[in-house]
Amino acid sequence: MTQVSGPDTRWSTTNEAENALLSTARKDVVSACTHFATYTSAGLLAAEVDGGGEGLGVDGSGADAADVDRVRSLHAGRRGGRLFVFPGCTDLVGTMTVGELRSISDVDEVVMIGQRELVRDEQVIDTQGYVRPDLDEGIVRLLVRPAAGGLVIPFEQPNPTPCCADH
Amino acid sequence: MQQHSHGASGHHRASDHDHGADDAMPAVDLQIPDSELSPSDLGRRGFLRRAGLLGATAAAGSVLGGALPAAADDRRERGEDERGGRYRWLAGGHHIHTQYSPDAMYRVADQVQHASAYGLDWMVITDHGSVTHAKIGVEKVNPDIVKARSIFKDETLVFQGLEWNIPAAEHGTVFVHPGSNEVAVLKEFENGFDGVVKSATANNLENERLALKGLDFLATSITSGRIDDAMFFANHPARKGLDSPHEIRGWRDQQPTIALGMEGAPGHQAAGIKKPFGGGSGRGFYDNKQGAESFKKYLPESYVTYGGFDWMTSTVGGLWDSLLAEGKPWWITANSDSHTIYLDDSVRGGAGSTAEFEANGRYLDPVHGASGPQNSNGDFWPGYYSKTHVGSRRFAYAAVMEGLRAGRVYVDHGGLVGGLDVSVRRLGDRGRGTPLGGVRNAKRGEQLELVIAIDPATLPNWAQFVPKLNRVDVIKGSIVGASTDRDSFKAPDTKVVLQKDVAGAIGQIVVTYDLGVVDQPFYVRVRGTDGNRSAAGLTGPGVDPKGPAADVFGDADPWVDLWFYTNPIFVLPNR
Repeated sequence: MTQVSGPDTRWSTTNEAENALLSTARKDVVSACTHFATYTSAGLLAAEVDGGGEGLGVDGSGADAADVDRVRSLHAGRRGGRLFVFPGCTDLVGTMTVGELRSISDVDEVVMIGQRELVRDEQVIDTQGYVRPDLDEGIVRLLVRPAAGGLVIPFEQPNPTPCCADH
Repeated sequence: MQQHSHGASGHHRASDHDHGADDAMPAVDLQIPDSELSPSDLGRRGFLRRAGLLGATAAAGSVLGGALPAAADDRRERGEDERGGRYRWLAGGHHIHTQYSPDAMYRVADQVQHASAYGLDWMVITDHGSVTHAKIGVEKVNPDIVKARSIFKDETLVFQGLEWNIPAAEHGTVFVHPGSNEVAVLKEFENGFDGVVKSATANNLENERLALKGLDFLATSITSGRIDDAMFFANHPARKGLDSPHEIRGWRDQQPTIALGMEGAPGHQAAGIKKPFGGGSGRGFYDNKQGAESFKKYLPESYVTYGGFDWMTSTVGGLWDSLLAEGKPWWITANSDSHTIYLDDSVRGGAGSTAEFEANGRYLDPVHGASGPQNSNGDFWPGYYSKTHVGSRRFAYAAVMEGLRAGRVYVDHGGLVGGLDVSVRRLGDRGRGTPLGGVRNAKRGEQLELVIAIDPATLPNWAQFVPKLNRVDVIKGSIVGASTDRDSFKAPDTKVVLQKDVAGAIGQIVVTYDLGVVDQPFYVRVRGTDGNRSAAGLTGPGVDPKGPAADVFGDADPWVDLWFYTNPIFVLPNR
């Protein structure tokens, strides 16, 4: 079941959405995604599928009904969405091979930014404890970028530099 | 083909904003001939004309429409200044923070002194727009700048500007020509049009319009005579996906003589140095991803730098090329975005707290610290690594602004080239030809060539080695006129047409590219590299076989991946 909540909250980042959702999540959730609004000019939606029949709360930020329908449909068919809860995700910590990551989690493919070529199973990945693959027509695909020491890391950084950061 | 009418002033745009002041200035009304102007108005008109703010240049919103600047001025077409001399290439940067920014720390004098020592001829102080800055900082920084101007007057020109929170978008540099109203205009601009001050950062149409009104305000401030000149460049445009293509086109078309371009390369170039020597982040602090306010069609690849350059610029056939393919000026720059310097050991004086900053409008002066060199600082001093070279007629504020507006600009990292002279001229001609940013009107049957004359670096750079240029690339694309899709970021006809290996060359390097007899409008631009890191471009190896590679997260030594980029030259067939 998928739920879409009211327009009271406004999330500007996926991290905000995740934190808000996970704080109210039931333990039986097996799969949860964030989605961006496309019909409204800005804002974020999130939708999910649970494991036990109850849905997570989902942000609205003025969600357009068409967006809500779109997200529900994507989710029902596992056709799209950015996964932040998925089978095996809690085991994806530290450094491992791509092959291991694929075998212990729902991630089907690991691809490199740029030409989006498949990354070999022997390649070592530093998960940074933050793995957020995309659903694409049933395929769970993780995008990675090159990192120090010949490793790859997930494209998404856990804590991106904020605007006007004190750096 | 879309043509723009800018009225007599070159600034007056139809909008819901009333610019009565435009009409009060006879100097900008070209209906009034020079002979009927008072001496002071005639002088003012002369200034505006030389700055590229009046007449043919200003009308050239598109190189395809109406009068053309280069054709109107034979001397300029030959790449000469008014006295027939060569341009002086003045190095600078338009994106530098001081203790008047909540995330920075140095005095104006610290930044100017270093910039001057590292070879900058001009620089712009750009502290962040904010409520505190609008209330205190924008005024309080001015005496520091005025003092620095007097101390460094023969070495470095110091402009006052600010880093504008563009409503509904990213940051940008806004700066003005020095003068008695420089603070008043900047302050009014910040209070009226800064996205943070006005709580207008959200991505919506109303805020997008506020950005355009801000540009109109700058235009009116010039035509009314309050200030001599002003300009705007978008900073780190792809960093967070906030600058959508239609917003960039909107700024450019609203005020084409003020909204001039964007950072081709962002600052923070030390941010990707690997741990434990550096902070181990993304080069340029480009470590972001799509957020709620981002333009949704930008892919993850756009949030990454390539050879230190922003995706909009580094992608051949990408966003920058899609703008140039419209036949409209949009220039690139490279800056330090200097906040806190890699391996500097100074710290903020006093408490260094937010409360102290807000009370004083700045942090107290920096002091020698006790924690050693700060290796997680991601920036270089102005001029230490990134330079924006502007072909200027003389060493003066107005001349730098005129050169920037004309697009006589190339940028480099790490002192990759000692000097660069790029022109389009008649095949075999020894003349100087049409310079960067210019428009070449081919004569009937005339064969043209692109001539790239490079003086290799002879002195070491600030990492104490002499950079070696390995390759020069020529990029060419058709000018197809205004894009019907204002959110387009693709130029399918633009590609690399020449990759010239220049490794081991001794003395001046001259690379020529035969442009043939011109039958269709096009533009050419040039880039070069030390050749250390290359990869097929995002638009495919057929377009860019050996372009800049995606910077490695946490291991991007900026000194071993050096590039230069030039702005384009537009070429038009005889019609």
